[in-house]
This record gives sequence, C-alpha cells and structure tokens, in this order.
Amino acid sequence: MRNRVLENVIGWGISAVLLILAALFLWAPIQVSNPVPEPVDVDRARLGARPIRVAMHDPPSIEVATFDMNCMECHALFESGKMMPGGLQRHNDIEMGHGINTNCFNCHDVERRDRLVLEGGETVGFNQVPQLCGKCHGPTWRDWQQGIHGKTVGSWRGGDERQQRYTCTDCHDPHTPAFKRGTPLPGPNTIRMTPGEGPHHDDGVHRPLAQWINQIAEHGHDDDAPP
Amino acid sequence: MRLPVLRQDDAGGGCGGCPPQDAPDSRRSFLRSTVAVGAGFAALGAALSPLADLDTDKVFAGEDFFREHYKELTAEDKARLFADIEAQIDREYGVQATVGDPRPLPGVEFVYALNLSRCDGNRACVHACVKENNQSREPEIQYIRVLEMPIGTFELERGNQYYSEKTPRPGHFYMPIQCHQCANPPCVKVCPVEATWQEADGITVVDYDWCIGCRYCQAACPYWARRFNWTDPEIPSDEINPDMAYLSNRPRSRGVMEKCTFCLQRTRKGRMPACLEACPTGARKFGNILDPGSEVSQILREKRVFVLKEEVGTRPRFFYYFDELSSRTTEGVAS
Repeated sequence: MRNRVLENVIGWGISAVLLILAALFLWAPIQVSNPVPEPVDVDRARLGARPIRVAMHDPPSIEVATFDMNCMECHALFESGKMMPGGLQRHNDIEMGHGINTNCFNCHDVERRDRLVLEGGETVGFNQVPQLCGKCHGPTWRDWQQGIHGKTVGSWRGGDERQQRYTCTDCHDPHTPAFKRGTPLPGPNTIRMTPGEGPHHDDGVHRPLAQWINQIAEHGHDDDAPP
Repeated sequence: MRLPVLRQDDAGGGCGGCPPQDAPDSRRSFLRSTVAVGAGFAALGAALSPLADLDTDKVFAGEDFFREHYKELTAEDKARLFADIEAQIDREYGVQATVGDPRPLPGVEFVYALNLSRCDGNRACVHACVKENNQSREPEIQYIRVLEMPIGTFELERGNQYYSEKTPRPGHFYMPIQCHQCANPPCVKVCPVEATWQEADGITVVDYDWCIGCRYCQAACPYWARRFNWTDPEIPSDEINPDMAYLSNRPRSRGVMEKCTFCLQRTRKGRMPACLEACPTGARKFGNILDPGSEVSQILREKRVFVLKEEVGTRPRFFYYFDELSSRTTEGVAS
C-alpha cells in the first residue's frame, strides 16, 4: 500500500515537473540574456593604405594667399638670411623638432630653394628625399633601400605595377621626424571581465589586469618562491 | 518458447475479465500515464518550438547536409556552392559579393616579419583586419592582439592587451600577436574532423562548414590566434567587404572557429595583407620567403629575428625583430 502511494506521488510529481518545464519553455518568464558588447566606433580613415601625410612634390610649391607658388618665385626676389638668428619670420607653420639639425641649409640649398642639398654642394629635387636623409641616417637609408625600413604597399611581388614604396616624407615630417604619440584604436572588449570594475578604470586607464600584473611585479610568481 | 498468457480471473464479474479489485487502480494508472504522456509531448513540443523561428539560411538542410569536405569538392561543386553562398549573402546583407577560391601560388611561401622597435601600439592593424575579413562587430572579434609590455621585460603574462592611453607609453613596447601560420601547427593536429589544414604556401585555413566548433584548436594554439563565434556574427551591411574567399573572409556562422589567414583573398592575388597596409609606422613586412630578393628575405638575412615561443617547436612563419631606436621618436619612449 505504501509502495502504491509512493508510486502515485512519483508519477504525478514527474508529470507536474514536466508540465512546469513545458510552461517555462513556452512562455519563458525568465529571460536568459547573453551580454554582447556594443560595436566600437573606429576612425576608418586610419585603416586605409595611404601615406599618413602629404609629402612635398617636385618641383615644390606652397600656398601663399590662395596661390600655389614655386619657392623661387619669392626667393629670387627677396634676400633671406643664410642662418636663422631669431627664428623663422616666414614659414612659421614649421615646427622644428629634428634634434641638433636646426639649420635650414643643412638640407635646403641656399641658392636654389626648390632643391635639396647633398654633401659637397650637389643638389637633388624634392622627390629624391631618401638620398638627402641618408646623409645622416645611413643605416636607415641602407635598410630602406633593401625594403627593411619603410613601407611597401600594393603588392609583395617585386615588379608588380601595383607595388608602391613610400619615401621618408610620406611618413615623417622632415622638420619633426619623430612620430607623435596618439590615442590607440579600441582594444578587445572586456565585457566578461570583473563586472563593475573591469572595463572602465576610474582614472580612464584601460588596464583591467593591472592588479594582477602589479601583484606579480611585487611578489613574483609562485614558482619564484624559494624551495 | 512460452508466450505470456493473460490471466483470466473467473471470481470477478462486471467488466468481462477485469479483476474487480484492480478496476480503480487501472483507471488511476490510465489517467496518470495519460497525463504523463501528455506532459511529455507538451515538453517535447515546447523544446522543439524554437524550430518555428529557425532561419533556414542558417541550417544545413538538403544538399548542404551532404556537402563534401572542401578538399573533395569538384570544380562544378565549387561553382554551385559559391553561387549559393553569394545568393545567401545577398539575401542576408543585400550585398553583391564575389566568393572566390584563390589557390596557393607555385613557388611562394608567405612569411611575416614585424619590427618591434617601430610598432607604437596604435591598433590600426587590428581594425583594418576586422574590416577586411568581415569579422563580427557585435561582439567584435579581433584576430590581432597587441600586448603592451615594459621595456626590458619579455613576460607575455605581464603584457596588457587592453591599454587605452596614448601610445607609445613611456617605457613600454608593443607586441602584436596574430596567427603565426606555423610550419608545424598544433591546431591542425588536434582537429578531430580535419576541418583545418595547412596549404602549400604555409597558410593554415579553416573550412567553416566542416568545423564542428569543438575549440580543440583554440586550446592547442600557443599564440592565442584562434577565435570562436559564440553568437551569430553581426556585421552592418555597409561594412561588408564584398571581395571574399571561401577559405578566408566569407561570413562565418555561430559555433565555428576562425583565424587570420594572412588575408589570402588579397595575398594570393599579389596584394599585401590589410594589417600591413594600415600600419602607419611601417613595422610590418610581408612577402615570399622563397624569393631571395623579397623584403622578408632581406630582413631574415640582415636582422636578428626571433620567433615567439620557439621552445614549443611550432616553427612559426611570423618573425619578430628589434632595430635601433635612435630615429624612432624624440618623445622619450625609452625613458
């Protein structure tokens, strides 16, 4: 008799559980949400294959009062100093940051301002910048000639017509050649890391692993411990 | 053989053979089993109810179910299959894509070289890759991880891949890591269904329709190079790259692995990988190692290159090197 009661309880119990499960499946009162990070906003202009700056072409020209002027159109008329005693009076958009190389005529020719000057007074056009830079940056010039330094786009095949080698001034501002520091594009999302404190650090620094990294730095690894 | 014989009980009456003392029990047990079976069917129906909302484009049905492995497809199979995929992309995204199948070029073995002295951690490569290879944007899948590490150390576990401050941060260097296209790839060895393999030009590819999503390859890869689609990939229609290849950047589905393929849809047609072209510092170099005049051959001859985790014996085709720092920046990176 007890067995029969037990059987009944189990039978109805299973039925009830199945029915409840069926109801849960169908009406889904508990929404299981799967957190998905928002898509990130990326400056697409930074992703293309084009030089990061516009190099001076040959013959060079600059815009003066909305006119494109060749250097010699002014410099043939006006005498300008061969040294730079009190800084630049013209061309004052130029920001100088080239180490000890602060003299204009280390690179520009004194007489022909639309030419660049090599050692010994020989001049080259603005399209032969690598030769000029190679005066001081010998190893870098050698690497550039071999394709080690610099950037090649279009094709990896030598002789392919799509292949394009960037020259020094396609990437470096000749007056301030060092790259500026910049904000990096977004990193991987951290949505599944330490909710509340992980993704956005209070000081704006995106380093959710900092506490572990610092811990390791302070105490070393477990296997560093003396035996 | 004895057959079971129904016991006739003459002592009872009423229902023509039924034992009277069992009658209430029979009714009860009949009711009980009816309810149980009903509940069972209801539960089954409920469990199957998501099928009603199933997107037929996302399931293998009919012909798809019997599709051969990529290596067993004939030219006609491929033509039909690629046309199907193009039609599906058109339905889903409204984009006229071309799905091609560029094969490895004879006499070409691709190698990557990366100058750690030049990389400034700007992550342009990461996002150029996402755009070129039609990775999911929501959640975003990135093939390239850039580790920020203190100069003078080389502990990957102390590297921070989530940095967001201005780069290069003083006293730090940056190490981008992506698929190394190993010559001895552990990911290929562990795949239980041969859905991933190494091709003649050294690129390891995945047949997304053969992958069962077990993620063994992800566990086997020492370079953290493989990604899993936990959800249906979401890509805005206007961001789809229509130049696709079957083994690389065609849209993937939920539950499959994906990885960097050195942009084979570009590189097998002579072009450069997207990450290289986006790199503003020229830290990335790519080419054919079998051509002694190529940039990467020059680098391997001239520079002291190294591979990551050499001791695990994977023989990567991805080389790192350091260079002189002098002309890199005057803003005190090394300070």
